[in-house]
Amino acid sequence: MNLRTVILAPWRASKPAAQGMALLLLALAVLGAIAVGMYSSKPAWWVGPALIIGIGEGFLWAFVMSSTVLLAIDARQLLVPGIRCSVIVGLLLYGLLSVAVPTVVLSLFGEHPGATGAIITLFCIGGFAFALLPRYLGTVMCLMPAALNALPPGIRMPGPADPDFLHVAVLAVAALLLMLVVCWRRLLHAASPYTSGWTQPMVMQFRYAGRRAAWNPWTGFGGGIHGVDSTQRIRRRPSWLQPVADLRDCGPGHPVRSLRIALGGLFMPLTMTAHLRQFAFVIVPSLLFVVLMTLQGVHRHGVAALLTAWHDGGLIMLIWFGAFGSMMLAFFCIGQVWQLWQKPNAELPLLALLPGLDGSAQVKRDLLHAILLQPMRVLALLLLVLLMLTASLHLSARASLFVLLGQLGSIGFMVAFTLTIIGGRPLGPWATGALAIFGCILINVSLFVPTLSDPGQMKLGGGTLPDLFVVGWVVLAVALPWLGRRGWRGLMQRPHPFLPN
Amino acid sequence: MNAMLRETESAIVPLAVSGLVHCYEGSNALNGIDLALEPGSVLGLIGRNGAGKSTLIRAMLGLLEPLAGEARVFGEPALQLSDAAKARIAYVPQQPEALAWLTAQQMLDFVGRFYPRWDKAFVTNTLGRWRIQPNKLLAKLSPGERQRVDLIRALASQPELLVLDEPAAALDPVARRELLREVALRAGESGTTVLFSTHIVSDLERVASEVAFLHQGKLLMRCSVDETKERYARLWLPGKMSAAAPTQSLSRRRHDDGSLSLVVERDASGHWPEAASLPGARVDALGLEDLFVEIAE
Repeated sequence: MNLRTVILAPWRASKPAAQGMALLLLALAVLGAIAVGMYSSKPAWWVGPALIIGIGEGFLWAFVMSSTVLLAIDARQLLVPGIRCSVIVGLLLYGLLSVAVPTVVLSLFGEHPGATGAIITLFCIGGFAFALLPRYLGTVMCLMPAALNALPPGIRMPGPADPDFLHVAVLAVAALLLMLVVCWRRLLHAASPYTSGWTQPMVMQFRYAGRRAAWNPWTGFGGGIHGVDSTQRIRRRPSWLQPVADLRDCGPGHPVRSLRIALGGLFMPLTMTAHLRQFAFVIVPSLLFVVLMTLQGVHRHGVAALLTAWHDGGLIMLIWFGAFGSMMLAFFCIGQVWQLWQKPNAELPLLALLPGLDGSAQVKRDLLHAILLQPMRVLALLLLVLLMLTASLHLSARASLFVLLGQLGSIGFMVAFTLTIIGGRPLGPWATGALAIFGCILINVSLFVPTLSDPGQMKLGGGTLPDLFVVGWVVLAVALPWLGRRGWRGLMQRPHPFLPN
Repeated sequence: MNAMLRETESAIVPLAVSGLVHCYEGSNALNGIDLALEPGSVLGLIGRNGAGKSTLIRAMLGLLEPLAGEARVFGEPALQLSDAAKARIAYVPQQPEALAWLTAQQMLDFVGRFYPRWDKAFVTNTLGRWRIQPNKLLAKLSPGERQRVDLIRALASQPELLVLDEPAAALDPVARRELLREVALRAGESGTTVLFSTHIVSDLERVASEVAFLHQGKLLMRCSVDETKERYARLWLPGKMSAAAPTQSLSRRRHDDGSLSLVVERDASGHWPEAASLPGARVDALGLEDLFVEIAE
């Protein structure tokens, strides 16, 4: 064991993509903390920067530092000596640096070094625990801050600026540390440590990150957040959450429905029970979150104030949430199509040789229907709901236009990229990434900035911002049809559409 | 008239390719392949990893667009097969991954609806005989079970052309034997044409009527399995006679002592090359596995 091995251990154990993301978030957090620190005029100004840096470091510990456990497991399984020791010393060293550096910097301005250190320690250990605890407990952990805030005033937890905070934080740190030691030991000594699933820690998912194919922006969307393929995803999912295909009305007489079954995932027709299960899986945590936030609001401001706040802010959040959801749905569809057209041994050869999907031109149209029709219906429904919400809030015509544009942008992305993939003319990964990020930012900012600018009247912000939006939307309005046309021509020229890329 | 039509139909070659060329990222996977399968034949395609076997099979069935050349299945262009032609073909890829979200039974029910001659009884019997749980999701089956389900899918459609890419790769010896028995039975009784790629030479010897050696994207040789021992041999020449080595050989290897080993073929009149009769030269008979190793090394 030497210092170099100790320092490099976490960076060797984690994937470059995770490192890049975590470091970028940390850098953004530091910049955000500086900005908040400079412009805050509150007496407890140090809480904001400490929380923001804590979040950034929490991500680093959740997605980079936690991977050291994988290295330790591998070392134990392969009976390689010394690595486990390097990993533990490395974690202690990075832990010390993670807490000491921001605490010292913030303390230079003479404010509460103990509480600052405690906040940052909690986030670092919390991030690490999120990755090492079983996945269902990790999900519960994410709801903890909201749950604690929702407690009635009599048993409320002390906030970071309260005098009792340090005592509670020390107890929480000790409890989390104890839990981490137990998890670490359990993982290291497990008979089969490489299994994954809902009862296994999140960190085991990182083993599969980016294992298949080269990097592509759609990898994450097609294969879940860590780029695993459909087979692995199904294998890890508990039985009660498996989607059950509705095989009624399929066969050569029902090509579109048959293709939807063959494409699986988001496109597959489900039985009613499976629909309810999937729906519940999304709705229950969301409702839980809403209930917690409502309780928090009631405790703090009372019911009347909460209703007003809900009308002013809640509907705006719903608009943003709906539009963001639409974009995610479009990206997930593209991701799934991208993944299907990457695999030469999966559904494509089966479909290419399946009799009954008559005539290639008809098959191409049926395939487009099978991929696009269901998501388009959902997006159209969401658009209707969003327009109703904008009308109920009396948003300005321009703000409503941006909501409409956001939805159309999501639909445009889905259609254009689907065509390029099944037409065999996909863009390169960097061009795809650049366009996806550009579209993502444009759609979100277009939705968010107008609604934030003046919550009372919901008018667009002044200055040059709208002009920039217009330029951005013109670029997207040119790029997406061009892509779509390119894909369409490729599709028409292909002898059949089931050729992998 | 009907008899004539049937005769013409049966005379159509089930699978034929000419001048197939394909490459991946600059390296040649297929280098001008010409190959045709006679109706009712069982052709074993053998070659090292990366020799181009899977690429050739996929190009033959129209599952990829080759850079050059043509593939025809039952006389139709492989990339534009009619439903009638598709109904006569079954293909099992190397590691079947399709429809992982369905159970074995659901997948077989779903696929079966598309094939006019689907044998439901065969599906039920074979699932039971091979001890595969019909209600288990395909994603949750072991690789061997998954491959067996795909084999059931292929065989239940009662194909006239059965194409198997490394069908025994994930199977245990018992399952492998059963598969080979089934393939031999189909070929023998129903006249099914079979093309299968493999690394396992004993499998080839057990069922194949013909063997084709693919090496670095080229088809080095093709002959009947029984013929290989008679037709090919290793010619060993001492170092001082290496200049007399025939120019035409399937492989050529020089040893440290200067001696030369070549894989040679009998000419049309059944004679070995002239160098075989030189004093000190030696002709060794080769089994199929030795022949494969000599050529592929």
